[in-house]
Parts: sequence; structure tokens; C-alpha cells
Amino acid sequence: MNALHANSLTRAFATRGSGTRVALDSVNLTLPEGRVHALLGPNGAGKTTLCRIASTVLLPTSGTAHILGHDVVTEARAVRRLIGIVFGGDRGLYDRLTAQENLQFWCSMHGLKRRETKVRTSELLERLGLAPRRADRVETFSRGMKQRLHLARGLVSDPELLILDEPTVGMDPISAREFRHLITGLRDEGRTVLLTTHDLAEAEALAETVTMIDQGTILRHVDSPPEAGTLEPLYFDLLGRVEDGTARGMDL
Amino acid sequence: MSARAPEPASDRPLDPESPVAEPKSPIPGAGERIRALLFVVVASFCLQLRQMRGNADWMMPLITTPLLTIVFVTIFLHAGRLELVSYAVLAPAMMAMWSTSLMSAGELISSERENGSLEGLIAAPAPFGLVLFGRIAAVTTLSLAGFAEAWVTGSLLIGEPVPIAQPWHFSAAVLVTVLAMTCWAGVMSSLFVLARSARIFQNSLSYPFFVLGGVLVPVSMLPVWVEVPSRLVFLSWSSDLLRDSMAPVAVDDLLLRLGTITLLGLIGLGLSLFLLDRTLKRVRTTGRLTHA
Repeated sequence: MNALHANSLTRAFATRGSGTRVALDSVNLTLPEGRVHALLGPNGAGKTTLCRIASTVLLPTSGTAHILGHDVVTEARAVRRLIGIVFGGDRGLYDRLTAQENLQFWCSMHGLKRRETKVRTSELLERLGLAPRRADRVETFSRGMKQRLHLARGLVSDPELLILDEPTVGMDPISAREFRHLITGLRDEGRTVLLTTHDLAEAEALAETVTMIDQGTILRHVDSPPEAGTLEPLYFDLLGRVEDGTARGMDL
Repeated sequence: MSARAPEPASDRPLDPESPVAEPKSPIPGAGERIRALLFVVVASFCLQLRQMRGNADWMMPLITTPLLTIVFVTIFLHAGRLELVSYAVLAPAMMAMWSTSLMSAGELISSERENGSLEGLIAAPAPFGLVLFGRIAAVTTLSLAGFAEAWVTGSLLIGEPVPIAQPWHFSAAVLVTVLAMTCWAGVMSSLFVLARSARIFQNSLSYPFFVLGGVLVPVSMLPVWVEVPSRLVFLSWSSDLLRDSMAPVAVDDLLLRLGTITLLGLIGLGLSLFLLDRTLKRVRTTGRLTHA
């Protein structure tokens, strides 16, 4: 089964005064289960829009998207049971709660029972190196620690598909490296991960497939783990062709 | 922890905004299903209490309650109207409940959006309506502290406990008032997201409702053109019933009045669910689930 299948997926946003801005333009994309997929593109490429549609928090303007066989619009509740999401940045947690309280709350949002919650919370805090700070309020955490807690939150339901939207954005290099190490662990488990990034090195280090996207259009899909240094020339060549207006409609 | 094989598609209703939860693991019976939903409410209730601990912003109406009580009680004492002390004690308590719900519970969706956590809540399997209900219930329950504050302050001022002649009637009235308040705070929570000028709208809902709710002056003493719309506001029924419960005379039509408050609360609940559905659809359509 495919983790994600998008068919002519389009999303347009109303803009002030001047009509609409197309964030996704008839995107066709199929990503199989059990792999780490990177969605690579510059800011404003449409990566986050695709993640938001996949996580059911945004409705497409037209076209369809299926997560593990479930339509994100008509079967949103089924999709929500199968995914975990980690949005970038340090917002989205409850700062006045401790790390443990945050995770306990999100466990309850995913229907975990009390005993499961206790086990899962301890396990995740331990795994993500937050156990010594479990009783500290999140407002005292560094950005890297908050992002690790975000990842723990995304994993509380043991999801079939983990969506990571620019998870290392704004992190210092050491925290980002530690975070990537955690993602590598998830990859080694055979978990399905959809990772968006504008960082070429991150895509090369983590991904087993890479989809390059810009201006709402898929530019190229690389269906094998990229070797170090191979993405950069291809990526900039494609972006250059987008700038020239010659990239659209190219043979993928 | 490991990645698992996909589960078969569920045969449950798949309405994306259905208020009924569909937890991840199979649930054998209705009892356990209800228990799971209650757990969502309890977890949300606890989350809200933890969010509010040590945060004076949430408590502002409770901080002003003793001060207002001093003002009202002193006026009645100065006028030699000791029999009206119950009015002076109830008014600040009801004002605290309304203000806390209006200011705090009403802003819950907006504050989740500002915090960046609304997306996560919408994308979780738990029904968002239950999450909101649990959190608002925590706010309104906490606002009951205003009753204790006002009673203690009033008692200190008159030098003896302010009498509550029929405590069971009073307790029942408080209970249905809290439920009705919780339901109507849900309405406000959605309205504040939908309204273009939410802050102005919010500020305009305080004092008019203190009048319409008859929190100090019973609506029966107000002009007819004010009294008629007041009867559509649950607060007016609550204020009258609470005052009557404190007085040493039998309460007329207790069940009818409790039922009216409950009915008005249920109307608020229905409106709340309708508006929440509209709100969530709108933010998912417009893409304004988060603040830019």
C-alpha cells in the first residue's frame, strides 16, 4: 500500500486584493510505505501545504490525496488514526506544562489508556534523551529539546506514517545533527516518514527517496537513496530552470 | 516500538467532523467507548487547570471579586438594607463566572491557534468538541471560587456568615448554571474565531449581560423591554434562583426553573456544536488554522 498517493492535487489560497496564489498545482505523487521520503524545495515551494493536506488540517481545492488508502477529506478521522505530525519551529507545545504532562495529554488525544500512556511516555522521554528533564516545564527548554519533544509527541500513537515538516528549521547545527540521528533510528526501524526540508545535506543523509518541488509543482522524483553530493547540482539545475520558466512540463 | 502493518479500513462512519471519536485500537463495547471519550474530557480538563496554574491572566475576574463584593455590600449596609446582602454577594460571583468564561474560555480556540497547537489538536483522533468542552468546563468550574470569595468577604463585612437558607437548592442551581455557562462559552469560543473584530465583540458582551442576566438587579424590576429578552438569557434564571435559594422562604417551581436553565444551556450546546463545525470547516478551507 502507498503511504501517500496524490492525484491532481491542487491547493490555492485567496490573497488580499489580487485573487489567488496556487501553492500546489495538479500534483501527482505516489510514495510507498516503509521508507523515508524527503520533499525537497525552497521556502514557499508547497511542501508545508502538502503536509497540511496529508494531515487533514487543510482541505485541497481540487484533486485527491490518500494516506494509506484513506481519503484525507472523506475519511479524515481514519487518516488521523494513522499519522503522527511534527511541524517545524518551537511552537505547538504547552509551555506551562512539563514534558511528561505534554506527552500524557497527547497520548489521551490518541486514545491511549492510562497504562499505555505511562509506558509510552516513559519510553519516548528516555529514547529522545528528555527523561532527566521530564518534570521540567517546556518553557525552560532549548529549541532543540522542544523539537525532540515535538518528535516524541508525533510518535505517541506509534503512527503508520510520520510527517515531519521542516523539523530542524532554526536549530543549531549540533541539535540538528542529534535530531537527524533520531530520524535515522526511525528509518532503520522501517517506519514510513515524510520529511520536508530545504536542506540538501539533510535530504541526502536521511532520505531513501527525494521529491523536488518548487512553486507548487513536482520537478523531479528520485526513487533511490541519493549519494552524497549528487542532489546539489541536480537541485540547482532544476531551480534554475524554474526561474527560466522551462521546468514546467519536463519529463519526470 | 516498531512500525506496524496497516490496519484494515474502519467500517465506522467517516464524517471528518463527526463528534464521535474513533480511537485507534478496536473498542469492544459502548461502555469502553464512552469511557474513552470521558478520558478525553478529563485529560482536557486537567490540561486546562495545568495551563492556568500560576497564571494571573486567567484569574483576573477572581482577583477583582472580593473588591466588588466590598463595594456592593458596603452600599447596602450603608443604606440599612441587610436583607439585600445576598444580592451584593451573588452579583460579584456571577460576574466573575461570566467574565472568566467570556475572557478565558471564549478565547480557547484563538489561543490554541496562536500557540500553534490547534493543528495538532485537529489532526488528532480525539473529537475537538470534547477537548474544548473539557477545557471550558475547567475554566467555569474554577470560576466557582468567586462564589466562595464573595461569600467569605460578605460574611466578614457583616460579621456573621451570609445565610444560605436552602443549600441543596442553591447547590443544584450552581451546578446547572456551570453546565449552561460551559455550553455558552463554547458558543463564544467559536464566535470569537469567526468574528472579524473579536476583541470589540468580546468587550461588548460584559456589561450588557450583567444587566440582561440580572446579576445585581432582578430582571423583574427592569423595564419590560429589557425583561423580555432577559428571559432568553440563562443567567437571569440562574440569578433569580440563586437569590431565592438564599432567602428563608420556599423556592417556587424549583424543577421548572432548573429545567429552564438546563434547556437554555442545551440550546447553547447545540449552537456551540454548530458553530464549532462551521469554524473548523472554515479554517480548514481558508488555511487559517495557524497564525502566519
